[in-house]
Amino acid sequence: MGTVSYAMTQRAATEFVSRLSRSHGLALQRFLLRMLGRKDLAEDVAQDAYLKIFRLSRPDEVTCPQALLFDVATKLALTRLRRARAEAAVTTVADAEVVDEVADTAARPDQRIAAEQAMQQLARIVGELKPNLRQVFVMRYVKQMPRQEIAEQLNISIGALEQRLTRALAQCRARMSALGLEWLGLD
Amino acid sequence: MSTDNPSADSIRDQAAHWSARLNDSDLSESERGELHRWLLAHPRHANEFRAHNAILALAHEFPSDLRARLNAFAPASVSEYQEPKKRRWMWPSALAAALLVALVAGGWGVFGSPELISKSYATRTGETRTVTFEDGSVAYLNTRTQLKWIGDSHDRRVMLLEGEALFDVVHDPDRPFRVVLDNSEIRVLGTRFNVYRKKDGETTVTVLEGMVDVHERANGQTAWQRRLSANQQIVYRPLGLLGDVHETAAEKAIKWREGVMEIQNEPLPEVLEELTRYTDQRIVIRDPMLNQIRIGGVLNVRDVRVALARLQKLAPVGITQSGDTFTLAYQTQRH
Repeated sequence: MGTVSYAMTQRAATEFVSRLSRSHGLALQRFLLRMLGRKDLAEDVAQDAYLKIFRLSRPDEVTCPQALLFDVATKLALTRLRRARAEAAVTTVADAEVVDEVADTAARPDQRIAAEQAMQQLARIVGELKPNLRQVFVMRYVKQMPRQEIAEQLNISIGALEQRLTRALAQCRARMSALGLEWLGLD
Repeated sequence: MSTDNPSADSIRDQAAHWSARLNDSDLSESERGELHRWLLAHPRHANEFRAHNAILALAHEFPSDLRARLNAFAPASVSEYQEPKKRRWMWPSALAAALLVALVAGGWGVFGSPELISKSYATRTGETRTVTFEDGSVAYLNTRTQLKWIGDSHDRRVMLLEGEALFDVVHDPDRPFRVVLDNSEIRVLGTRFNVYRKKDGETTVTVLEGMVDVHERANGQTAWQRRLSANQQIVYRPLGLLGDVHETAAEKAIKWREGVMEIQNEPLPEVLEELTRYTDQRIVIRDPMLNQIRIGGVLNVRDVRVALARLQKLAPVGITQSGDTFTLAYQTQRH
């Protein structure tokens, strides 16, 4: 095992990343634009994120490529925000905090298992939420139904739905954290 | 309740709020400013934000077995395609029944993972939609299209019940990908191709990349089989009425994705029939002599009014509207 080379051919990595950008590119672009508010910045960060993933030794082994892509991009976006603040403030912010924080680590061999476990645990946690929270979580985040439609079906206001979603999400996170399941991005 | 300090809970709630908020719709400039300030205020904020986003992304990527278990907790989406009362196929209904039994029998905890996942997608008139299947393959649905994904660990099947879809298939030699229509089937490896199934059963398959095999069964045997590669097209009907595989400019077959229809010297009735796919309004030809007219040009299919206005410039027709009906009459072109 230890001597097996994890190097992927350049072509396969290119194919993987281009598939990732085809299937999730628009969503990522939208997410980054919402977070950063600037199209050029959002595009830059998206490109950097693809590059990070391209550099993984076996990107195709990642079991939750979308989660990884969004996390890498979020982290890069945070770096940009910090840098922008540091430049605006003209103060000496500790350099270590400003440098690109996403290390070029290879996907760890245990990452695939970790991602699968995280998914299993999350599904179990969602299953154990109170019924009214579980229902909205599944409708919105698993089935990806539009908010309007969920509100209509459950006969609740959008505001009430948003509150339930936020509570459901926070509870999931609290339980994941209690189980020691911190997010497994590229740290 | 929580072993964390009290502020941990409140940071978590704030992070949950921002993740959910960002997932829903665009932020106002002042909200975005607030988000940025909050994110940079403490490293813990940024970490929690990432962790919450990760939960949303993981939930989105749940594999089919987890998805099936959790879906049982929520009412069905009305935008998901409803099973027709009268089933036309024997085997898919058997599969659907098996799935239903699995879902009913399996409560949380005692539930074994079901072997397959089946999911239906539909578009309404004039609507287009992009669907990503659990294997990462993507289907772009044109107007009035119904399809159903049935996948398990060694098979991927899409039943095209009605309409038109462009498929971008992820290569996976262990799980062949097939598009199934009544008795015919399109078998692919990784590729990009468009399938258009008309109401009368006439089916057009156009390959943009890669290679597909199309075959039809009759009495349990393969009636015919054709192989298509990039920039080839075949048109066939049920009962073995089969055209030749011919070369085509495949990109033209997916002009619908841009919301336009490219016409090259085609009979007006066929053009109008295509156009009615995108609207619930009726288009009626009053003068029989219009049936003989051929036209060419580009029509916008997202707005039938615009398309018809353009048509008036391309052909000697005058158009009147009353209620939901457009009536086309012969009219010599003005200068």
